[in-house]
Amino acid sequence: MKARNLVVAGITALGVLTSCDKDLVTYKEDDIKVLVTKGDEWLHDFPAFLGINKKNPPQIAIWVEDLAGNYLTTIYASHKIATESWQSNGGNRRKESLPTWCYARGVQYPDGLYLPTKSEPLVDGISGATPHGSFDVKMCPVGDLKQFVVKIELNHSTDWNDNYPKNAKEGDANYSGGKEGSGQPAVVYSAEIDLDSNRKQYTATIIGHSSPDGSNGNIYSDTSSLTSALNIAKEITINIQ
Amino acid sequence: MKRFIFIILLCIAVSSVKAQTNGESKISFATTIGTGLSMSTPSSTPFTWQVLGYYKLTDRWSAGAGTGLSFYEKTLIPVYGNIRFQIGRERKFTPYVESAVGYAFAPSGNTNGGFFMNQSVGIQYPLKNKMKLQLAVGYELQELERLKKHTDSFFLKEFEEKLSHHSISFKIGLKF
Repeated sequence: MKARNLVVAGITALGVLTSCDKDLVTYKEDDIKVLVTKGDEWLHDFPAFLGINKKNPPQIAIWVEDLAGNYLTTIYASHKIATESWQSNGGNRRKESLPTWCYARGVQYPDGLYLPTKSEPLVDGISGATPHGSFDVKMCPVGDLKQFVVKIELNHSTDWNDNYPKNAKEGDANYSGGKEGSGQPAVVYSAEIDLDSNRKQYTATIIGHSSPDGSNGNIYSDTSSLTSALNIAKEITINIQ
Repeated sequence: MKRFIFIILLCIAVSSVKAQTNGESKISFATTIGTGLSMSTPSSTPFTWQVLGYYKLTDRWSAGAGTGLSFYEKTLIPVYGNIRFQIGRERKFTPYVESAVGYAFAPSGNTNGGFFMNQSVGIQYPLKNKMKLQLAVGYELQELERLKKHTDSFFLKEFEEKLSHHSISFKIGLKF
């Protein structure tokens, strides 16, 4: 009887503790919520060791441009690209991971690449561990910016398909970084936001894919060569609260 | 209020154990300090201090509960159930395996705690007055969520970062 009481007390205590969790991000009127809903391919097998695969979430960057296409600010970037904390990359800086964001941002590092480095990482407050599921980021306007474009770039490593095979050689049009490179290139979504309108929800649409080998920041509108990469995200919406 | 309820429940639990075992010396206690080798990205080297109470079920098996402080990116207070199995009879160096599962909560306002688990194997060495030194190595998982924010001339940006810290844990402590 006493032992049962003890177990009940313990379980109740744990229940109380877990219910202490709070919403860390709260929204008020006019705040902007970028909601990335995971798709069927959100998690992707990445070779870890001894033939064991690890389920990896994609690399992600969310940034804002003005209507003329000029980069304004980064809203979020996943930890690995923001801090150069790749694992098993053998010195490869993975310039093919999110090249559209990197070139849009336009910060060139001493090695000539546009990727943040370990010694010069992105600001900590906008980088975080890539979520293993759907997630949201809050943007609260503090200036007088009313019309802008939100862009989102997503990519998996080793996401090979017939059009972007593992054995493509450097210099080939479909080369994507070699042995542990990108495979299918990053996918870019975009939504044009007008805070002066009464519209409350915008759906970001795919506007193309990035450079397969990360050699430029162009967006290629023909996505017919992509397969699973188109299903990393199910939907991306920008909601005005 | 929730913390108050929790403290009441914990008191009830402790008094239940005392009532059940008074005079049978089936209760023992331990305290450990530890650190770990991070296996996750983002990585954080943990530092822990824990206190545990054990109830001896048989010569080999003990069950108990523990709490303490864990320092990752944020300070956490883990509360967990524990099962310990002594391998073989007691001798100078006695090996044991131990499993702890629970939840860590966060005193900080911008953090949520999460699931906690530690599986370890160790040895204990007798000191004076029934006191034993114990050393253990194992695997620890600690989940937590924290708020990240940044403001520039265009936006205040906020998001919730979910962290799962996997680490190889090392603990040293005393059992008495």
